Amino acid sequence: MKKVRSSMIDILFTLALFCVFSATALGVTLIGSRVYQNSAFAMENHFNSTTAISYVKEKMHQHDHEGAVKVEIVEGKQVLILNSSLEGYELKTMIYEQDGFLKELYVLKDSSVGLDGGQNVVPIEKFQVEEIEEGLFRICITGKDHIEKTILIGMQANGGD
Amino acid sequence: MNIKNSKSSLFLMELIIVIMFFALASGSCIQLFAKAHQLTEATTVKQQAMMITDSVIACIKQRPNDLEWIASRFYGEILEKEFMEEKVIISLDDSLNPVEKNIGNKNQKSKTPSYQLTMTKTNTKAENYKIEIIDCKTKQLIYQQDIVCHQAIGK
Repeated sequence: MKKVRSSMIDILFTLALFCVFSATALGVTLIGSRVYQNSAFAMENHFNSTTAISYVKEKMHQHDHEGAVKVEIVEGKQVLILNSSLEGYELKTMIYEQDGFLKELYVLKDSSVGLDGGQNVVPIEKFQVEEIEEGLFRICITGKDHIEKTILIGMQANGGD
Repeated sequence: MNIKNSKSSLFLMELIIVIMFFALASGSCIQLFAKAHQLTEATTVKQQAMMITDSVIACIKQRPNDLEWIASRFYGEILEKEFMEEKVIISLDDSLNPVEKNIGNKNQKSKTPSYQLTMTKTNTKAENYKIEIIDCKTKQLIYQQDIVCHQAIGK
């Protein structure tokens, strides 16, 4: 009777130890996957919003000449308009948010192409732009993670000293 | 009987050794996970610090000598002028956005800043600006940038 009991305890203890081992292994794997998931999610959102901000910033600096950068309301949306000329043609680049994407539309200045014709740049939630004073623009971009990022961009040709 | 007992204890020993190795490996794995998480957070903070610094620089370029205007853009305060140095202190929250002060409303609790941006202007031959962002809790320097503004001839 005693032998049987001792043998049972041996088996149960080993089994319990194995269960603890399995549970901990599962726990570590879950923690690892969660950390990886969070990092990947954060990196993707971070990439999208910083890419959008860098993209708008570079575009604006590229068009840093007198009266080239404007903010207008087109089809009920806030649109950043960057005017330029090429081989005698007056052109405009429109940057705006539509259908969850930051879009760019590069057309002739008096073209009647609607905002639907724009090309997707990066996925974002919201794009806001305002000229807070002559030559100084505030750009707010809300990423898919609903985190808003704001940056001030100064145009040297439009008013900076 | 003896053989059976010895087999059982051998198996137990093996299991214990395996678990010990597993514990060591999982311990270092968890440390690595924690480090990865901290690294992701630090990168995000650094990126946001760069963005707020860019905004401050845009304002400096817009009105190089108007510290009051620059400070008001970010709810900052100007410290007393010391010799050739002028300082603007801007309080920032967790996401490195400027913290608005509740002037005239003492009942409303103001947000405690997590980070602090210090802009130091030194007037030598050119105007030198030094922008530093520190973590208020650890007093650790997060980001630093120096800029020099040269006055255009005739201005």
